[in-house]
Parts: sequence; structure tokens; C-alpha cells
Amino acid sequence: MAHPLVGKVNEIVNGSPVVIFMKGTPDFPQCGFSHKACQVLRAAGVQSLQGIDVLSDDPLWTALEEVTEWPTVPQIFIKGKFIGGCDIVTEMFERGELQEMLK
Amino acid sequence: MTPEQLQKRIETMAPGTQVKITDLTGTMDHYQATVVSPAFQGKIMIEQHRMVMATVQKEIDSGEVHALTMKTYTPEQWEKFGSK
Repeated sequence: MAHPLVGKVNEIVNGSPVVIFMKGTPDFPQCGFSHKACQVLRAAGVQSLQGIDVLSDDPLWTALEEVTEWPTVPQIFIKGKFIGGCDIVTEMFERGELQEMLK
Repeated sequence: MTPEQLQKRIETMAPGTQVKITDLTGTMDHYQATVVSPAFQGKIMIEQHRMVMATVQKEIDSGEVHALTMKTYTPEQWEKFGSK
């Protein structure tokens, strides 16, 4: 049976164009990878970044893992689609793929 | 898992896949892989990463491979971005 909060995860990721599940918030990140991912997204032109702090919502984090089958944070969604973590968004930014996806 | 074993395993992902392995810690459990494959065509980066991960899922689950970071490229992307 699916985790009861999977519906809430889907609602969140479809509610804003760019969503990041992270440790801390975009303004006060609590982990280096979350911090870097936010910086990369802003450098790619994201002005409205919806951050969800997984440190303050443990059950939601468990549901997120079930949706993405990705074991680490941060996790970035663009237009409702799971894109990856810090390494992937950084590499996509360097190749111009992130900017393309945000158009 | 030795670097050679890891390389050979990832190469089984698809015909024409080329792999370079770096042992990041010298302990044969933290690896970096550079993977170039025509099978990556039309896939976004996370899909490419998942394809590579799937080839070593057993070793990741058992803890034999503790960490695998990677860069993935289609042959065209390798031409464009691979040299840097």
C-alpha cells in the first residue's frame, strides 16, 4: 500500500514550477548540498523557489523517498517532474540543460 | 568490487557503452564513473544515472559499493562537454 502522504507530495510538486525538498530553507539551508542546489537554481534564473524542509517533516520525507526512490536530499522537481539532486542539477546547469528545462 | 569489475559491469548496460572508473578513496567502495553510451540518447540526466545504478544495484544494496558518483554522456554530449 502506498504511503498515506504520497498524495501530499504530488500536490506539492505540482503546486509550483520549481520545488526543492531540502535540509533547511532556501534562505537558511542546513546542508552544503542543499545550499549549492539552491544557488544553482537561482543562477539558472529561478526567482520563485518553493523549498520544503524535510528536517521538520519526517513522515513527508518517507513518502518522498517512496515517490522518487532516491535516497538523498536535496531533491529537485521542475514542472512536477523529479529531476535529481545537487550533482545532477549542477551538471545540467553547466551543460545548459537546466535552463532549457526551465523555459 | 574492483575497478575493473565495476567497469565491465557498467559496460553490460548497452552495446557501445564506454566506462572510466576512478577509485576515489583507494578502498574499492567509493567510485566515480564516467559513462558514455548511445543508449543515453533522448533520456534526461536522472534517467541516465538510474540506468547505470541499475547495473550495480546488488552491490549497492549489499554495501559492497558504498558510493558511486557519475557523469553520463551520449557520444554527442561527450564530444561537446567531455573534454573539460
